[in-house]
Amino acid sequence: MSELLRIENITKKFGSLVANEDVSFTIDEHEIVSLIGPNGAGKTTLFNSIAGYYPPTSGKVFFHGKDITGKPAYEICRLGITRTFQVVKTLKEMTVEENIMTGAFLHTGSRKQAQVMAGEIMEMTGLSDKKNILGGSLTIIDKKRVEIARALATKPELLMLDECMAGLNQTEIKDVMNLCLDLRKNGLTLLIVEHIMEAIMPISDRIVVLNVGRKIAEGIPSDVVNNEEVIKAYLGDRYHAEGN
Amino acid sequence: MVNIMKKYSLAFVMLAAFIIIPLAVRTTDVHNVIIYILIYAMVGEAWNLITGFTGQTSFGHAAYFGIGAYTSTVMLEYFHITPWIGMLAGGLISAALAFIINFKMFKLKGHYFAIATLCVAEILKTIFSKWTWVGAGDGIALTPITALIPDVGKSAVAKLAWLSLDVRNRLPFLYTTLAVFCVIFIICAALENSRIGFYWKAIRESHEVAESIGINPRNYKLLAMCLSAFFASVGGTFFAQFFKYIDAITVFPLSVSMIFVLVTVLGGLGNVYGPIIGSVIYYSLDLLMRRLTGSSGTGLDQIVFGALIVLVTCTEPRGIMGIVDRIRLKLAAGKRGGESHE
Amino acid sequence: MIGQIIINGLLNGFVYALVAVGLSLTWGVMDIVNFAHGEFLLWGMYGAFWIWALIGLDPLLSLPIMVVLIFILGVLVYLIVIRRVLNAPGLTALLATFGLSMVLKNLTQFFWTANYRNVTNPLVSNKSLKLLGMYIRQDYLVAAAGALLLTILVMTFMDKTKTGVAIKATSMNKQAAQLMGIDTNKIYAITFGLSGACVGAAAALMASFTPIYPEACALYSTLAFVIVALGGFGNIKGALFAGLIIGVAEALGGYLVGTSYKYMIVFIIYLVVIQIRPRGLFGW
Repeated sequence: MSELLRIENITKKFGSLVANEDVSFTIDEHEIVSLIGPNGAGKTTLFNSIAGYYPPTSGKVFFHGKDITGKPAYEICRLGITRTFQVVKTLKEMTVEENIMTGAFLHTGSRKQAQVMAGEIMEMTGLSDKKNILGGSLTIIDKKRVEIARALATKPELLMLDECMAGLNQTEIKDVMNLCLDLRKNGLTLLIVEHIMEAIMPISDRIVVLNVGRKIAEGIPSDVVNNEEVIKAYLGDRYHAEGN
Repeated sequence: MVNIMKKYSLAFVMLAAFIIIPLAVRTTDVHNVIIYILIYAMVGEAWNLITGFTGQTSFGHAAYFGIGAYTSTVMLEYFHITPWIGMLAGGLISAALAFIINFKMFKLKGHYFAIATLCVAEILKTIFSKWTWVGAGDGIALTPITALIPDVGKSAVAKLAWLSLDVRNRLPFLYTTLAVFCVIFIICAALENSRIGFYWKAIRESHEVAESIGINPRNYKLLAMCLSAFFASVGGTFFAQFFKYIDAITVFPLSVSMIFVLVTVLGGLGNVYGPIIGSVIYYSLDLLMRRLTGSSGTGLDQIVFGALIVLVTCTEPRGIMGIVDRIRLKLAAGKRGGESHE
Repeated sequence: MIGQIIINGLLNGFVYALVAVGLSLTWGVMDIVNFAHGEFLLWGMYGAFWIWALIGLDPLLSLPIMVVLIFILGVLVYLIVIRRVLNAPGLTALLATFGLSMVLKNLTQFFWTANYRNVTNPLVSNKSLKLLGMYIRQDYLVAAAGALLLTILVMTFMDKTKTGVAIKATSMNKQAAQLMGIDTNKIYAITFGLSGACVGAAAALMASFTPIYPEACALYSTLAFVIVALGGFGNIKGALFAGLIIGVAEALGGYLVGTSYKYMIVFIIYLVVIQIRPRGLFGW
């Protein structure tokens, strides 16, 4: 397997607040890597740095060995990295089909072809029977589906999912897990930010753990859950929660 | 082809009406109203591109409208160049100006951008009301083309190039305006259904999403703005030829910018039919009110309009087209209900 | 000379600021671009004029009446119209206020024609005081002082009273405010009323030296839009300072470049400032 994404010593500061400090890891092709950590660990910030929403304060991001640090988000998408948003941003005044077609237009100027591509993706994500519904009037699970489908329509090599399972019930989570595995089978690489451990553990090849902006562990799921630092980071959190 | 006929059936009905009514009702005030409707709908379509589709509110489209009016007029009066060329020149100048101004301005968000567009139009208003070469405060009165170029109209081509844009030939002028409006309408409808239209709407709905799927928002906003400025400017040329007199106060003020906003939002913002429907309703009511109240000057017609606008916005936020859609849905539901009973 | 011009600009600026503060309330808190704001001012001026013409009460003395009346006008406008378009998409609310402005403006023309009306022999005359070598018109001075006082009053109200804080909370996060038990519908009504009260007061202050006719307030309302944006949306202090800046800029521009260019200077200043501070002078 060859390396797809390499993150080297990423640090991101907002004024005096350090959101990410010296984070490094790599993702190989066709891997599912998960990024976990307690609230405020800096997962979304790292996501934004990779996807080009703001440049990191220092450090570098390489994609296929090419330096993409600080490139604007739309260029990074054209290179083959597409992200979803933690707070779903469905295009409200457009139908499900139009939402997905907008993504598909990255690779075709023809409306017909975009429609065909959107059709395939709707099939895969279980949205076919909702294609004429406006984005604004969907249920939360369907909004999340559209979010993923729209990203998929840009045909990324690396798909970055930001907490796409939060707020879903057990069966819905199962659906998303299966979708992730299917996507990997189709040749995609996934970077997933997630809180829900039960969902993440079975599908991830590797897990990277952040705490207070730093990487504290990395490895296969079974190793990570037994890692002392990780337990401390999470349990500390939990004791705190119970104390309240 | 059949599909297009079906999808745009409303457009074909309206086109037929615009062709037949001027022939059936041969009074000057009706013809004038139709010309007004077409000119403001033209600029409404232009404004709809940047604000309705792309979501960047402009309160300053009078800037491009005015430049169109002045460019063609100056070229005609001073250099004896046909308004057809003046129209294109004005459009290009407007598009270039829109590009230069908005290249930096598009980093502004929401209202800050809207107020900036207002400022641009107001600045142009002051410049043109002081610029002696374009008549300063006195403005420019348009000379009849036949007086300006005495031997015009010898060949068919020359006739078309010169006289079709002279409002003194009222019916030909009306149909020329209609033809140009149709061209703009078709371009806007085609854009709406293309990749560009999808990208514009994505930008309108969410900047971040647009970027995440590979769209450079600034470039697409600039494209929308330049096209919009071009079409608004074309409308300005028609206005100048129609009104036969222009000055800065007539073409550049906020109240003119607001007419474009008004007809479009009244008809349906972000809907390609919006501007023309809004314009038809606005100006036919205007005509009706003037005939009912005798003359304007009391402001009664404006009061009724204002109240009508308030009423429409309070009942249907998507404008007249929203009401049309609602009726259509109801009819469709009724039909289906009827079928199931059989 | 320059000192004299700056003083004149400042005097104007305070009145601009009061009008802009009113606009800033609805624009910042409710995100409603109220195109009828200038017409509120207009009705205030006509109100003050007719009270003077019919019962001889000077506009300055009818200020409390105008504050109350235009407050009521604001609340009524909110309850009858704005409430229905508050959550509508796009520019619907804007169009509604534009329709309102047409109605309100042309009603004045319908009732009282387009003729200019002036208050003669007002309480405070237009004679000038000599102060530190500068001439200051008494009526301008009184209007400016009144405007400053009222602006401070509004700012204090927003900071110190329960209602004021509730208005601010609603502007920051409507849903959270609702969860905290704030009746946002009531808050919006009060905000619209308060916005009206500001221009009601401004109208009473200006009525004794401004010609009153249906188009009298168009310029004030355009300037108020620019001032609010220059100061930063929803920022009352910003509106006050931006009002003063615009007042002085207009006076200096008029003197240095020419009277007919003075508003152009104002618009250029906005375009330049907004490039450097994209969220207004006091926005972040």
